Amino acid sequence: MSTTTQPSDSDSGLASFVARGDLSEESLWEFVRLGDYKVPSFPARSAAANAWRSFKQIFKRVDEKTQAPVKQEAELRALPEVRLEHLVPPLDWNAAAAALDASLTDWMAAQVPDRSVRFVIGQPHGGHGEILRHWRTRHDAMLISPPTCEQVLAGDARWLDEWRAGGRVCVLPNLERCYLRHAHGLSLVRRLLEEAETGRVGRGVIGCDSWAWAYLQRVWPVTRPDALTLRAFNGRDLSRLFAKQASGRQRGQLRFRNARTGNKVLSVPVEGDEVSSEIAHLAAHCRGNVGTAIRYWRERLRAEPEPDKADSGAKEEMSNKADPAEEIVWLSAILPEPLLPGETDEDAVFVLHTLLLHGGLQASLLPELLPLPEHRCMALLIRLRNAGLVQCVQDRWSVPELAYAYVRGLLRGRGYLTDDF
Amino acid sequence: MQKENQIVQIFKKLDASTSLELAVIIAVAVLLIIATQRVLPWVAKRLHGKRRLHLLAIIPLMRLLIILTAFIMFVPLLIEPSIQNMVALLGAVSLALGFALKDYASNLIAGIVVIGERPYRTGDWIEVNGVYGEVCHVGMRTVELMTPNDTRVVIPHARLWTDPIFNANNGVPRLQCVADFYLHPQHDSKRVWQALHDVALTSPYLHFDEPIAVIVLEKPWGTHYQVKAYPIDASQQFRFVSDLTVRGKVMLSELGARFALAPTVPDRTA
Repeated sequence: MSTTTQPSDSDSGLASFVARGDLSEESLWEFVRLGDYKVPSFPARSAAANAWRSFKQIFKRVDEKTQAPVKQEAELRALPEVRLEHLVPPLDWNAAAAALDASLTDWMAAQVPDRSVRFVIGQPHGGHGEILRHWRTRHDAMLISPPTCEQVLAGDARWLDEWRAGGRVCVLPNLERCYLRHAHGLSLVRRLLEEAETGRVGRGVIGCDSWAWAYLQRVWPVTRPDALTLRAFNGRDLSRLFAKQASGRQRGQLRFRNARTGNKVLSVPVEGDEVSSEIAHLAAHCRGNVGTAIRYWRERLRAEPEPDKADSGAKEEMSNKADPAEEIVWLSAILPEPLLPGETDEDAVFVLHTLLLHGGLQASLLPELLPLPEHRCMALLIRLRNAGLVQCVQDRWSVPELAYAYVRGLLRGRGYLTDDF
Repeated sequence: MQKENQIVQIFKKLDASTSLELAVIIAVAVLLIIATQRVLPWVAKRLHGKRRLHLLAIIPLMRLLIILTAFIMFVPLLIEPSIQNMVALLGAVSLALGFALKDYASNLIAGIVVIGERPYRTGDWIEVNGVYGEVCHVGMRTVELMTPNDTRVVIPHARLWTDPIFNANNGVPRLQCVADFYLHPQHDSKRVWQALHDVALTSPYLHFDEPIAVIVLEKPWGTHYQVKAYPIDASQQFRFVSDLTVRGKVMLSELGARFALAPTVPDRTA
């Protein structure tokens, strides 16, 4: 696997530090300095539509109808799971790890680097943990497990001994699990950051969620301009990624079309360099976060209607005109986003904010971190889960991909601390 | 008698169509005022932070503009708008206000000054003459406060001329909150200072763009700690102080600090 390093990327205006991974995926996976992260902008028309949608949201009460599919889309059916797996397989983080490798080449090669520890910051669902685990495998580095909650609350510094013991490069993929927003939950992470800055823990790479990073910048106010993050995926990058993913087991021509308008969204193999405004809108909506973008994409894919129902509208016409060797996959026009019915109360907002700051939490920890009793926390979690705003995976509650943009907007609108992306 | 006739001559004769026009102007103005006072607060309820406060602050200004517009349309229908007539009319009105409605006029003028100088706006938390609460309505003559005990207090704007107005947030969503802790003098001040700072830093109510300060004051009866920080929204101030107090007390107990048992309640302002 060959890698190259390029100093700059004039197209995206990324100034200083851009490194590239596989040549076959040139410019898809790139790591940039945190300050160089550029959120993709909305296409002009969809920016206005977005502003109008936000304005209407002020007056709108959420009801079932607003979330129902449009008439034409009701005829479409969900794709079978196997087909979805072929069209949108899980992301291969190894390619991203290769890009990270390229970014850290000089640092790894230096006998005495300026900084003994490098930070890699990722948005929720942006895969920073997975990328660092792949990177660790490449370099046979030592994987540091996060401390237990008891160790965090006790400020148990013995956990840091693991760092010093090996003498190898250490990798801590999830710094967000090394602290708790509790008066007792900060001393251990402060100690870790202090030792990392002074070089006492040796050489290592630390991954951190962007929300936890924003909070930890207040706990340990030392700026790290050399912290790296995955470059934002714009519409062009997403088109290329979706096409590459779908081309894996595809034999003939494949077209993704908007279920409402019938317009082409993406062709596989790719035809030309034009990027659909749908995908550009998706990239802007997800703020360049590839993890959430791919989830939206997957959720919106639909199959042809059942044969007996396929006698109406533009889709039939479209299907008749199409080349028989060409397969059409329909893309729902609606972003499958949950909305919290009614006015979101303060306690629910606290729960969502706390989950994001910690990159997900066990339910039993919430009463420790919030001025809410246990039963209230549990009731809120269940209510939010029913609204699709939180999920529970392996006993850990978190904000799912499809709810992330909405929750981030909600918290930002109310003045809560958000990440810098 | 002649003077009376002269004043009467200032006014035009009202026919049916003029009367109808006057009635329509008054009705439209009243409807517009009611609409702005109902619709804008309804919209503001759905907003948060600065956007909410800015929208609320527009309401008195809109009302004043509607009244002025109605007045400008109203006067030429009633009198011939010459300088001589205006001087005569304004002189008569001034006399009436000066003697009979002095206090009322003072409040109305102060109400106009409030719109211009903005010593308080809807959504601000103010204290006037010992009454503390959120400004829920700025009327033409009075300002209405809602106290933390859910009591509505109506204060005439004329207080502006004589009393100091304490505005805690002054048109922004945030205000400083203070949580007090009184400790026995024998304790590790440095650890307590750091612990109280972390108590504020870990509150879910905390607004991070404002600083946290822990003030330590040594008193004859013990040590007085003040944790000063800003909640995300001014409406959270009491819950924020409660959260700081509860978690602060737990933290201090765990540190082994004893609370001061003063024979008298210390003066907070001391």
